Amino acid sequence: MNGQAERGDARSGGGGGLFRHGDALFRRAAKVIPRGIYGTRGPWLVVPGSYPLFAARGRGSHYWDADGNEYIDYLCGFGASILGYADRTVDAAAAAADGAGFGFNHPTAAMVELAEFLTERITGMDWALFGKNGSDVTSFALQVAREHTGRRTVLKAAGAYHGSHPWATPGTAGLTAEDRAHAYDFTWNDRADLETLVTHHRHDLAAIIVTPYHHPLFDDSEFSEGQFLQRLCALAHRHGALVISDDIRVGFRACLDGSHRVFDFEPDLTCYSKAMANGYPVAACLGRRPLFTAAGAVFATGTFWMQQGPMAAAMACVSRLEQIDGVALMHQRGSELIEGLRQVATRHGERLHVSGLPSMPKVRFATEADFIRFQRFCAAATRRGAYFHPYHNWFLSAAHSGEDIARTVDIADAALAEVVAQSAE
Amino acid sequence: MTDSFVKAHLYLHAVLPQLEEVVRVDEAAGAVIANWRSSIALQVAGGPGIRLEVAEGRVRAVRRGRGLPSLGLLLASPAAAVRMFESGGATPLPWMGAWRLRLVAGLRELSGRLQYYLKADRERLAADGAFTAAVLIRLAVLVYAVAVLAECWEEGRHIAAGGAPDGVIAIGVAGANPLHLSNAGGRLTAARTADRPANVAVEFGDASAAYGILSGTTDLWTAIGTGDVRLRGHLLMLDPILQLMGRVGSFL
Repeated sequence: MNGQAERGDARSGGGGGLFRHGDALFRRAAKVIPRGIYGTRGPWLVVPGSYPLFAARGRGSHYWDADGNEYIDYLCGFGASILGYADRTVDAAAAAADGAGFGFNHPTAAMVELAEFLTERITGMDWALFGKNGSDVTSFALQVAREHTGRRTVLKAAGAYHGSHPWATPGTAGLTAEDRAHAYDFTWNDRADLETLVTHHRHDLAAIIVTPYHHPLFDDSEFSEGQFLQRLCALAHRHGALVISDDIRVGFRACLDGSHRVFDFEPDLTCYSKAMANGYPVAACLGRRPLFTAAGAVFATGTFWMQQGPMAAAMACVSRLEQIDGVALMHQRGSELIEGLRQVATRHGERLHVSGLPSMPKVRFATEADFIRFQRFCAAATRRGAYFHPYHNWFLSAAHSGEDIARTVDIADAALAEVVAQSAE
Repeated sequence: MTDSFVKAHLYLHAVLPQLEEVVRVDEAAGAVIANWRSSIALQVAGGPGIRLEVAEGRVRAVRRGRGLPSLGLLLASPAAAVRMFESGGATPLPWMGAWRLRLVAGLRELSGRLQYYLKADRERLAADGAFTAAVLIRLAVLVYAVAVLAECWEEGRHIAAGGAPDGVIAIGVAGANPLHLSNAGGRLTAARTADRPANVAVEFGDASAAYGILSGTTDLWTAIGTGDVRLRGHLLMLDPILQLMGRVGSFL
């Protein structure tokens, strides 16, 4: 791994010129792009000086930043890279499809093929419609639910992320009170809270939108407890409302036929994006047959929504995951990583708290709630070449190797030693 | 709830408390109160009140004092308070201690020194060697103003109650003691010290970086990216704070 030794030794506590080109790029960006880099990829969520801000290229489980620093990646493009960067199979499928030209007046056969491909695989779903990003399809799913039920209200778990559109965004700027007038939050795994909310809104309840398990930014991930998801579905259906599974983050890391199958609940609509095409821009909303008419009634379009390359990439990606048993592979590598990190932590007198799936673990120090030391640890590991996000759940890809994990554990050991030494000062 | 009501609270509870720091860092202001052992009460009818307790060369700003003040001043309304602070277009009525002319004159002088730290331009501050002190005082106004908006402004209360975790937020300039905001269930309290370690910290790399943000010449998000502003800890706690900071400028 190029330059890793110097990187590890030279930089306790600061970037020390590691990101010279990236920093210059950011200064240019800040003059012409609001915030320089907007959204969750912006520098505010990490530690400027310890994290790269711009990528240059990637291969498998590794990527290189604008300064040529190499990282074993545990964020995987916020989950999109599931087979690893620049996967030859997926890239070839996308290139072949788009090589015939794209941006036509019409969709190509790829759209029909992908709809057939997904409805054959995703449990209980009979039709599919495509967009580009997760927000496209969560918003579409909500519109379908509203059209089908003739109602307005949507319930969602507090802290859950369902996209950047006004009804769901965690942001506040540029919104009106009306944008969120019919959206209400319940507490995940709190049956009483949910029942109260459903009862209150039962005459206007269009849908409850959930993730297959709760994976909020900052907080621990939580699986459904006490049949929470099953009861949620029963409650929604009893009152004539629909359940939307936002499977955008978990999708294809828990299983390949819809995470609701693994987590044993029965949504009416499901949403996918991120990992579905290994980073190519495509999103899908799938639904049950009775919602077909309502889905057709909702106006849904976008100039680029029907591009064939990403659709071909999606089929190639999911097929490849099937061939290599990618889900099991990610689960195994994730488990190895967590075990290795636990041992490192113990050796340094620290305890890790890990929640969520092994293939997308949410990690923090068990002994602190405010992330201050954990942030230092993640920054130190990232400077040494293992990209750990301090607040977001991490992601494994099927490209992570045993060697990657072993190297990562070594890096974590050195990073934690640095944090412990700093704390002792 | 009018803008004047909110502004009056801001002037009394975010701006005037900075006299504590002004008399500490400013020789002329310190000399004014050197031998005082007094309290000055300023009350806005239908609005906020503040008591400045002065003793042993220090000023302490409290919302409620005990006993009669040495000098009591009354402003007829929040709008009158705003006029007084913004244009001098209103005069407070002395209801206690009007004969203490030394206090009245001294208060006028203190007010002038506070204005200097809040309003003087960068070049003048730099020439006077007061740049860093002024930046820290302006930053303190901003931090205290966040707590005031969370208390007195309806939308501010809504923002503060938005569900951010409770905790202590430290905001400061590298090398100087940070200011603190404590959030307990959406109730924000500003103070110079905290009784427990901060859960999240916003640190400006130097006074110049802080000045850039405070004067609106630098974008906060850009400064974060360039490392001129460093964030540490539980960032979710910052959500309402940053939102409220962004609103202060529409009042002050």
